[in-house]
Amino acid sequence: MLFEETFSFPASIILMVSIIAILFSWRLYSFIRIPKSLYSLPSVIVLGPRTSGKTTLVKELAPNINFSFSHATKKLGYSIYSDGKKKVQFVDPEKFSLGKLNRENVEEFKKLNYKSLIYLFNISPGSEPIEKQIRGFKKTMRLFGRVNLIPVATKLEKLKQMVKNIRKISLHRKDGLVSLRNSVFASIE
Amino acid sequence: MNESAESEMKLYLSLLLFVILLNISIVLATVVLHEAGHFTVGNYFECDDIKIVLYDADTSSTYTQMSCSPDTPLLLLALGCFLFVVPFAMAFLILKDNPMRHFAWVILGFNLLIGFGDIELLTKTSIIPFITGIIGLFLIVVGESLLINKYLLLIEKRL
Repeated sequence: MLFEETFSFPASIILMVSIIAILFSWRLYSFIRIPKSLYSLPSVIVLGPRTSGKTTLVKELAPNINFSFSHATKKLGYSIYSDGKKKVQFVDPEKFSLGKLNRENVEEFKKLNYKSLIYLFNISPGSEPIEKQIRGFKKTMRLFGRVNLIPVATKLEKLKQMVKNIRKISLHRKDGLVSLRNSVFASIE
Repeated sequence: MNESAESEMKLYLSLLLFVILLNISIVLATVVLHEAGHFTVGNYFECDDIKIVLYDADTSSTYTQMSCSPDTPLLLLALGCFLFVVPFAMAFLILKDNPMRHFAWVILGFNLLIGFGDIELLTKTSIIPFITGIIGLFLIVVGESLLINKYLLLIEKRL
C-alpha cells in the first residue's frame, strides 16, 4: 500500500517559495506604491474617532478613493476632487486611531501639503463619550497648530456650546456636503 | 537609490529571506508529520515493512509505504495524515499576537494540498480531492498573506 503525496518534498518547497515570492512582491508593491501627487496636491485631512464615518465622508466629497500606505499612519485613503480650476485631495487615514495621535505621526501628516483639516464627531449610539471626543479634538488642534480646522457632526445639540463654528452635515441625506466642500476650496488659494 | 531607500530595501529582502526559511522549515515539518501520521496508524494496525520515503529519485515522489492485511481499514490509514498535522497547526493559534500564528492556516492548507492522493483513496473520485486541493491552496494564500502583512507592518513600525 502506497500513500503518495501530490507533490514530492522538493516540489513542495519550490511551490511554497513561489507562492511567498508572488505574495510578498505584491504586498510590498502596495506598501511602497505612494503616488508623487500624494505629497504635492493641496490636501484636506479628515480626522475623527473610529467609525465616525470618515471614509463615507471622503467618498461623498470625492468618490474615487484610492489607498496607499505610509510608515506612521499605516493606511491612507486619498481621493482627488476638481472643480475645473483647482484640485483638492481628501485624505482619510483609514486605520489610524486618533488615540495614537502624537508628534511623530503628526510629522508624517505634515509631509502632506494640507490646507485644512475636517474633524468629524461621532454622535451615533455606542460611540465614544462626547467629552472624550472633544478632548481628541482639542489635542488635534494643539498638535497641528495653525490650520483651518473645520469641526463637523451629524447632530449638533450639546456640541454647539462646546465647539466653536461646528457645522452640521448629514451623510445619509447628503445635507451640508456641498457647502463643506466649497468652504474647503475657498480656503485654498 | 539613496541610502535610506537602500537600507529599507535590504530590510525587506532580509524579511523575504526570513519568511522563505521559516516556510521551508514548516513545509519540512508538515511533510514529516503527515507521513508520520500514516506510519503511526499503519503501525497500530500491525502493517509490515512500513517506510517513510521523503524523496524517491526513481519516481520523484514522497510517500509512506506499508504492507497491510486486507481487513485493515483504509479510511483510518488515509486519515492518519491529519493525526499529527492538525494538533501541530492548532498549536500555532496559541501564539496570540505573533505573526507566526498564521502558519496554522498554511499548515492545514498545505496538508490538504499534499493529501490529494489520500483523499482520492477514500472517496474513489477525483472531484472531492480537487475541491479540497483548491481549499488547501486558498488556505495557504490566506495564511501567507496574513503572515507577510503582519511582518511588513512590524517593519513599517520600525522604520
